[in-house]
Parts: sequence; C-alpha cells; structure tokens
Amino acid sequence: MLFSVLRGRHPSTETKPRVPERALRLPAEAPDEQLVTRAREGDERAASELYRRHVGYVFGLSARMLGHRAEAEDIAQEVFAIALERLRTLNDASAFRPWVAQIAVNLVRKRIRRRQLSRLLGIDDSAPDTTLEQLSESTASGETRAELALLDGALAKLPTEHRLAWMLRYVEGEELVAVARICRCSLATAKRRIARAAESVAAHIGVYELVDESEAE
Amino acid sequence: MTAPLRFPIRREAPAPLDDVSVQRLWRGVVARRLARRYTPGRGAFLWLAIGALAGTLLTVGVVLPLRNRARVETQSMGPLMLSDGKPLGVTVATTGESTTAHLADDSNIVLEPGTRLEPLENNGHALSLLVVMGHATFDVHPGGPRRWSFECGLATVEVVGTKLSIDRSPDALVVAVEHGVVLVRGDRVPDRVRRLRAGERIEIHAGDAVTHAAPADAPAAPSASGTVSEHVPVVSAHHDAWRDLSTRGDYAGAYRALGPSGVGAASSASQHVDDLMALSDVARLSGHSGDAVVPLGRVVREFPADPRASLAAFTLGKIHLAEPGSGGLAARDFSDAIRLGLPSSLTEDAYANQVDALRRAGDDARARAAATDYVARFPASPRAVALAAWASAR
Repeated sequence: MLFSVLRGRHPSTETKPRVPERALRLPAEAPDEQLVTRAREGDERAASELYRRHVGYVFGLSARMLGHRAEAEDIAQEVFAIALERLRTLNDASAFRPWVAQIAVNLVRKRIRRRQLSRLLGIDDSAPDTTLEQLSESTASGETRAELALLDGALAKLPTEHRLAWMLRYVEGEELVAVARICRCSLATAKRRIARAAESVAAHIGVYELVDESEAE
Repeated sequence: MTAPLRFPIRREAPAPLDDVSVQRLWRGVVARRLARRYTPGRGAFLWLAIGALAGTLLTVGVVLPLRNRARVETQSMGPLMLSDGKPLGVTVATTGESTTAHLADDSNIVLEPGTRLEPLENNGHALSLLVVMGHATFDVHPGGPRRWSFECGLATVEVVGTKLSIDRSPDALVVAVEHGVVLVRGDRVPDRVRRLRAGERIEIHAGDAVTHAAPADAPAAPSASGTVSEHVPVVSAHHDAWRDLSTRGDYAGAYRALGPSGVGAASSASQHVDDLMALSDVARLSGHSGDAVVPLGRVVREFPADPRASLAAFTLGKIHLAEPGSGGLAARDFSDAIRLGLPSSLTEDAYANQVDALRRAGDDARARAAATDYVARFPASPRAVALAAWASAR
C-alpha cells in the first residue's frame, strides 16, 4: 500500500502503532534534493516521503497561525497537492521545506483575510481550537500557558503581515532571511514587520522576555 | 510576566499530527492532485474567458455578418429560375419569332426558332446548358454567383459575365462574342482552347481540326476556303423523318417516326456518332430514357476518341443513376466519363455522382475512397464537407 510508507515523526506519536514499512527503497535519510529529483521523475514513493517528512511542519505552522485545526489540515493537504504537482517549478531542489512553507503561509494569509471578512459580515462565529495556549495544554506549566494566552490575545490584534512575520521568527524559529523568503518580501521589510509586531506584543503583555536556547547553546 | 517563553515558542505549543491523520491527509493530497490534473487552473480559466470574449467579438463582428450574407446568398444560390419563378427546364423555341427567356439573375436568353436548350447542371454555383441545336444569344448578367457554360457538341463554351451568341447546326458551331470574354474548348479548337474577346467569333466545323476564328463582323469562312478538312465527315448523310422532326424539337414525333423498330434498332444500324447522339436525344427527350442506353453505350464503347463520348458516358450515368439497382452501372459510366475527358464544367458533378452511384451499389469501401478522392480534388466544393464527413464516419 502506498500509504504504508507514511510514518509519523513527531515525538508524541512515537508510542502509537505505526503503519508497516514496505517497499520503500529510498534511503532513510535521503536528502530532500534527492527526493525532489525522483519525485519530479514520477516516483510516487519519493513524493510521499517528502510529504511524510514535512507534513508535520506545515500542519503545525498552519495550526498555530490560524488557530483552527480543521483549516490547518485543509491547508496542509492543499500545500502538498500544489507542491507535488508543481515540483518542476522549484528551482532549488534542496529548498523544498521553505518552499512549502511559503505556499502554506500564502494560503494562511488568504484564510485569515477570508475569516476577517466573514467575521465582519457576521457569518463566522467559530471559536479557535489551536491557539498557542490550547496547544500547550499537555506540555506546558500553568504559568507558561498563561503567558501563551496573553500572547494569543496580543497576536490577534496585529495586522496579518506583521503577525505572520513575527510568528515565523519567534514561534516557528525561522531565520530572518527565511522569514523574508517565506513572506515574499525583502529582508528589511521582514525586519520592520517583526519589529513593529514585537512592539505591539510588548505593549499588550507588558515586559516580554524570550529565551533563545539555541543561541545560548 | 512570570516565566519566560522558550524560543522557539512552538516547543511550548506543539501541534502533533498522528499517523492516522497523516495517512488521512495524504489521501486528501492524492485526491486533490488528481483533481488539479484534470481541472483547468486559474490560468486556463483566464484563457478560456479571454477566448470566449474573443469568440464573442468574432461572432458579433465577423461571423454573424458573414452568416447573414451567406444566408442572403443562399437564398439566391439555388437553381437559376426564370424571372417568373418557374424552373429553367428544357427550352425550345418553336414559334416563328425569336423567344426571350428572362432569368431571375437578370440574364436573358434569346432563342431563334428551332433552338433547343437543355439544362445539364443548374445549381447555385454553376449553370451548364446543352445547346442541342439552333441559334441562341446569351446575355449573362456579370458578377453572378454561377459559372455559365454551354456544351455545344463540337466545343464547350465557358462564360463569365458577357453577351454572346451560339449557333449550332448538325455540322458546325459558331460562337460570337459581343461583350466580355469567353473560353471555347474542344478538340476541334486550335490548341484545344481559344479565348474570344468582344467582337470576335469562332466557327467550328465537324471533322478534324477545323476552325476559323475571326472578328465577328468578318464574313464567315466558306467551307471551300481550305480550312475545312477533306476527311470523311462524322456527320451522317442520312436525313430520315425522325431526324427532321428531332431537328425541329419534336422528339415525341421523332420517337414515333422511328417506328416499331424503335431507337434501339436505329442505333444498332447506325455507324455515326451524330446519329447515335441524336437517337439518344430522341429517346431521352421523348420520355424514353431507357432507350437511350443503347446509342449512348455504343458511342462510349465504339467511339471513345470522339469528344462527345465523355458526354455520352455522363448522360448514361445519369440514366443508370435514376434506375433502381443500376448503381454499379452508373458508377462505371461516370468513371468512363471522367476517363474520356469530360468537359470541366461537368467533371466535379461526375466525381460526386460516382460516389453516389457506388453508395447505391452498396460498395461502401469504394464509395468512401471515391468520396475521399472527391474531397481532395474539390476541397472548396459545397459538397466536400458532407462527403468528407461521410467518408470519415464509421
């Protein structure tokens, strides 16, 4: 079965029974570049491996940005449907991940605008189910959840472009260059959006402190 | 602020996706990929919209006017009728004075007494008349949609918007042009074709290459001028009662005058093409088309070199085509007519009739091949589209 090659990689799914691995003769750690090349040649196993490798990232990014799980799942499907059908347009085969992120953010941006319009017209009263605070429910302390709840409130008030840039940088941990690329803007614009968003967030939740453990390491 | 958030914050807010969800979403991805492959994208819709707009503009700006024009033309593209709306059939001038036939396209035909014309082909594109005998003057309205031509036995006259006179007797043909230009074709015409301008005339005598072309006001060349061949003339010397009657256009009387032996016996006894053609005329024009088969068949078989042999084969094909169960014979006749060198005005009709004959004979394979051949030869013909569709249909 084609789907038998799909494997979850998230730590939270490690204990769950896995679909048996069959027929996948691709090297376990084959780089994205190799998978993209083979997928371009019509190798569906390579395409499914690309999906399996990056779907969690795309779904998580979408879920955190949108706040709605169902919409995030829908976007994840759409992102890979688009990406796998347009693989030939990807110039740098090794840049599959930022490329799908770019597609995802673009779709998220459209969903946010559509939702804003729906709310303006009074035809959307659905409550978010994947805010940062809700997602941290099983892993974070009460204090952290409280911080995240404040952060959710602050992000909700930001302009869409500022919010997306800030979340890519501080929530998803993308480099500034990557943020600019994913948002399809210049580096200066990305920095400006992030800075404006940070000012607004600080104004809403008071003194804001963010420990970058990766930098500390 | 009670506790700093770890960077990146997604560590505090993971969005797990279990294997079941991964597989479920993958099925959705596969379905969407298939849908994207078989659904036009936005670009396609854009191009479709542009195409539709262009098509609409084209339709409104070009096609509709052309269609309306074609409709108007089509209304006048049927058979050419007389000005009073009656069909143009066999026309015989029997009165003592000349008769004028006014046609719907403002053309006129003046027939002298004893003149007989038979339409061979009459449709929106062509009018072909057989000048059986007599003297007729044709004033063809210029710029009309039809190609006019006259089969005169000794020659074929092709006309485009002109005024000319044709005088056919059993042993001579005189074509004189008053206005415009005509082409006269025939084996007895020098170089097989002669272009006549206003004021010119051509005189063609039965026999070998015997022609005299001169200004219309010049006296006709006498037979003894040396331009007349001294070879044995094809025209029969016999002048039976039936011939006199047929010359006057009384074909029924001629048929009766042939007596109990009928056309068949007279045809068997005759060795002259003129006699055989005249006998076939008597049979056909008196309403006994079946009797024309014998004399026409003899012309085709025994005088294939005669310029009238192809016309005889064509006429024979028409007779067979009208007879149930004779499709195979008709197909052979039209094939003979084409092979023998049918006048250009009838060639297209012969090819089309050949297809029809083969269809009636039930020989579908050859009929389709003939239809394909027809389309290749006459791609602009009004019949080409229908025949091409039929030939390609299973």
